[in-house]
Amino acid sequence: MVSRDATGADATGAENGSALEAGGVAVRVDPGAKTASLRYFDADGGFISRMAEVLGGPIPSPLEAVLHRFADEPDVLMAWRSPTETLVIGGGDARRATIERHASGSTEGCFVDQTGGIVMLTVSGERTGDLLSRLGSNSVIPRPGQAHTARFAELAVTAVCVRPGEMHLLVERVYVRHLVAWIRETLADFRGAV
Amino acid sequence: MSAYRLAAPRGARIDRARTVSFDFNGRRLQGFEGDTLASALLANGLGLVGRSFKLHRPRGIFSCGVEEPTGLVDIGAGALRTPNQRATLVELREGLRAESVNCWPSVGFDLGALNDRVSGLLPAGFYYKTFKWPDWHLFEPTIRRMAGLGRASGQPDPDRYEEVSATADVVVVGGGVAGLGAAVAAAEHGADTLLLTGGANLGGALGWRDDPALPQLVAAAARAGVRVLTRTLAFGVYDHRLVCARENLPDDPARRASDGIMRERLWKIRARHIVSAAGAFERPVLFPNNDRPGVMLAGAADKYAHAFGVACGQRVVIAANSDSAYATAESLRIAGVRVVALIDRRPPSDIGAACDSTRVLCASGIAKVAGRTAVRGCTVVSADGSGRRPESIECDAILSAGGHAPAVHLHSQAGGKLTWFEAAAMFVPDGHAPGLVSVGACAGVFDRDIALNHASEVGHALAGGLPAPCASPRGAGRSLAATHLAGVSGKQFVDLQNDVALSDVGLAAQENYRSVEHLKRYTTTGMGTDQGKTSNVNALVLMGEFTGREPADVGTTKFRPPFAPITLGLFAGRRVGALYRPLKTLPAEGWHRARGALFEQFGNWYRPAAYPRGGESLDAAAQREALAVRTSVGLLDGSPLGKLEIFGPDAAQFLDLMYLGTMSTLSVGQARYGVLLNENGIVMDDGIVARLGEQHYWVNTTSAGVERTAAAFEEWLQCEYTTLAVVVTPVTSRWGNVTLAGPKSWELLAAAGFDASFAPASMPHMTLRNGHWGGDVPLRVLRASFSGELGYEVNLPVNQVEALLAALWARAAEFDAVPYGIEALEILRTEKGYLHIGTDTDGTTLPGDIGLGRAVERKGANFVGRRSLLRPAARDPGRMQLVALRPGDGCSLLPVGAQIAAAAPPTQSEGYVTSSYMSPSLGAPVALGMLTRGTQRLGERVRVHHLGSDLEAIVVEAPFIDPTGERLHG
Repeated sequence: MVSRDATGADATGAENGSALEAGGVAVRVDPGAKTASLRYFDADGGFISRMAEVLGGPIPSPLEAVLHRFADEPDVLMAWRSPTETLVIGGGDARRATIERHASGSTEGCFVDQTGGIVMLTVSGERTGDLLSRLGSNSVIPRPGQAHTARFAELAVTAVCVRPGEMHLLVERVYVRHLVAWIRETLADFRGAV
Repeated sequence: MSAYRLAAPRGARIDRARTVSFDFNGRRLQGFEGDTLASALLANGLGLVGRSFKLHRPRGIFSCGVEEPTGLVDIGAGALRTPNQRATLVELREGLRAESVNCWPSVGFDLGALNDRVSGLLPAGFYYKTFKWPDWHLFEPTIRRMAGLGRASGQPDPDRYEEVSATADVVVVGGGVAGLGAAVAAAEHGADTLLLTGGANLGGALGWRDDPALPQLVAAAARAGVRVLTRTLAFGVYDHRLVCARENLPDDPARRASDGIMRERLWKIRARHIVSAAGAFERPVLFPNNDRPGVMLAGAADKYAHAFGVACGQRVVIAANSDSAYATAESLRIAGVRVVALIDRRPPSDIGAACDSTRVLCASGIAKVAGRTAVRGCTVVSADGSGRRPESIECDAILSAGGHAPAVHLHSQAGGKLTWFEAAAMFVPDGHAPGLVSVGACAGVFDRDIALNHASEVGHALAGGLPAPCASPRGAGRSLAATHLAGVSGKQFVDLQNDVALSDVGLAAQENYRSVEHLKRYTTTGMGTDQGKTSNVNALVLMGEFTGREPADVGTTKFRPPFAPITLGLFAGRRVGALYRPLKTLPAEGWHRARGALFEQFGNWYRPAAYPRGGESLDAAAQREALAVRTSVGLLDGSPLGKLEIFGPDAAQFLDLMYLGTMSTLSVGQARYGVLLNENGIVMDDGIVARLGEQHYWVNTTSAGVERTAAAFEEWLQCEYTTLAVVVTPVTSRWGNVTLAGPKSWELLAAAGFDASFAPASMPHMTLRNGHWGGDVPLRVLRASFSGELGYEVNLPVNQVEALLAALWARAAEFDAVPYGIEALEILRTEKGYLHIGTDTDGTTLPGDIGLGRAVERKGANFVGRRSLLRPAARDPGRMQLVALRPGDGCSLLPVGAQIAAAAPPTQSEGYVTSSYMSPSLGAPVALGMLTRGTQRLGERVRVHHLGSDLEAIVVEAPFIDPTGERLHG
């Protein structure tokens, strides 16, 4: 259960990977998620074609997210962030090394490792929608297969929905404490069934 | 007023079986569940509720809803006290505490009422004409003490507020018959429909009436899937069909005992279509002393009788100029209230209604009200000059029925126009507002059946994406626009809350404040918590009469959100305390805490200011740390330093455009200081640019400036330099930074396992090397210094920062190493004369002001801000320039912010002190400042003034330490 503290700032536990759970919502913080920014100038260009091959499938279209599953290594989640950026989350070390190698000599794009810098929170449970509508605008909460970058809890957050009832929030590490504290406060009110 | 509780079955809203106790002004009273505070006070015979704003005249309950101008109370006590609540909206609950506002020592005996005795000296705008001599400040404290109504708590609010966003195809504002009709029709035709109603129940302002359509509509709404939010008041319509509403949540004494509760919820609803069914307000009639407790809107008295079982008086008189008064009189009679007379200003020929059960005096008006704190009677005179003898009528309540004013607020907020409907003397919507359709009384449709049909058609049309039909005003009966009675003495109040009388409107007209907006500001009519819901139309009609204009020509003031008062807590939501603003956190916060760090906020970062040792002050710790950096080595967590990766074939060209300084000539591995300007040539940020590859750069910004730098880069790329192939990737969160400064920096790094390629001999100042530490930890090491000492900025993945700090700390004792915080860093950079953007610069600082004038001259290529710097004003030698300062006596610390001027203020300032510290290395204070023609005044003695102190300072050459820069190289 979530307990309310006086300042709402004591969220270090969640920052370090523990989970919050209350009122029909579970929030898990994964500070070690492997994240990267794929930057490019032409989403239809050769660089992206080569990256898609290495990543195991096409990169997402605008406002979309795709999950590529592999039998013998971690899934790769890709989320559109802007016309020149796609976030790449997960994937095995070998695959990521291949991506970096392919990208390193290119003039058409680059691969910027963001591991540790962009942290992923996974929100699940029947009241996920209720929680997100209290963090940001209801109109930017993504549906399955979508990725929206918008303001949540006063922060720039990329919200990604791969499957119903589960949402990934990607936020800069420096702000994880603030986001977790906001969620903690909200969940404490869920517990009170207000 | 001798209000009293009527016998059952009157009182559809109350449960007589459930008694509720509450306190009013310390007096224990009882009401019933379902009562409002207003109805309970009336039922207890309490007519005197508060005092007016300016004259402190006695005031009672005037209405039955959100428009209440006078029945204001402070609710709760201590930290839970909420000021200026309308008693008409406060739901009675066990233990409720309410107090009258704006009175001392009591509402019955208020010393402020002396104002009323001298009211002739306090006409509209008196404060614009008086209190000038000898000095406004002499009067200001007293006036400020007297201003305002209720008192805020002054303590932190323990309750909580939240913000929820929602979307809907159709949002209906108002839960009356029209609102329900529109909602049901929209939902039945497939629209996701959300209905907001301010009350606890559906039915709207007339929901207490026994209307058989109502339960049917409520059931139909449930069947059709209409989402209903009760106790939710829509207070604003904003751009792109955003509706904001406040939901009042029920109090919970059980939870309150242990914790704050969720008190209110702010709904931000994005709608495809908005339907306003906000109803209408009754317009009062003007007559002398029409503000006495016991004078009330007729419709309100009717509702109190039927809904709450409260008769507003034993003998009731109705003052009217509207047909609606006749139906009200009959309804009151049915409820058991004795109406002794209906006094209609209009001649019989203008009256379109009748009431056989009540004595009607046509072409008559009230010339006098007897009683001061309660109505004791009234005197009726002829209003048509017929010379009929005045007649005294014994009564204890006077009901005012001057027609209606549709609640067009949301329509106007949405950008809708209004038109004057003469027959009923009211402003109604002129067509639809963009994205918003009005139905029911707020559209001027007072006929129930017509309103319901129209609302249903609107709901149907909106659900189907079809144009919604417009309404024509119907069913309001006839009303007289003019409301006051000429030729009678006594104050006839237009705005009861602000004590604006008929004479004040006349004075505004006489002094040519003819515009309705000027009228409002000059007289204060329509201001305050009610925003003139019962006074605006009367005021503008009067202004029209005084200036020979029709009401339509006078117009209305601009309707702005919020429609009703909103607590500040609601707007703050969760943004209080630790959530007030997002603070950034260091990756190795725990390590710093273990070293005794004292954390403070710097540029939205929560980071160590210093590491005081047992009993040491912050200043002493900073001095010790700064000295340690000069003599051995210091460790700084520089992770907040802004970091951007710039990539692309045009990256070099882009950075040349963005920075004062040429970055394209850097070879891979080289770094250069750069200053970022905006298009006006103003210094925005600075930092170091290093080249990682042919088309790949690493940009360090200031800690606080990374967002604005990244935003500026994106803006120029997206709006101006659109042909350049460049991407900007912020990586501040990804890369931590451990900075070592001091003559033993390299020795400590080497001891921690850094290989010789990073040694000063192989890595000169202002170079960057990629490498690894501990085998696989990637590094980007920059030789740079903000202290003037040998410096290394070691950038590495954030999750490795603590490990590196630990490794360095493990060998720290061998090199007398200390961790140092921001305070020591500020001392060190000031000793070297290095500027800090935002501290030594402001929103007017140009490169030439900080010693970079020659850099501007040298750079022949274009760059952002260049054109502005070519203006003569930018080259004015009389501008302020950054200089170094020493105290004249050699020992006094010059206060930061102190003004430099030849004489004590008030006088022309020549500059100010921007940075000032005691230098531990010199044993004397050092300072920087901006000074007019500063660089031409080296050696000059200037006067420094601060809060009455007067110091001497000497303009000297920077830096204070190591002028040749030898220490940078170790």
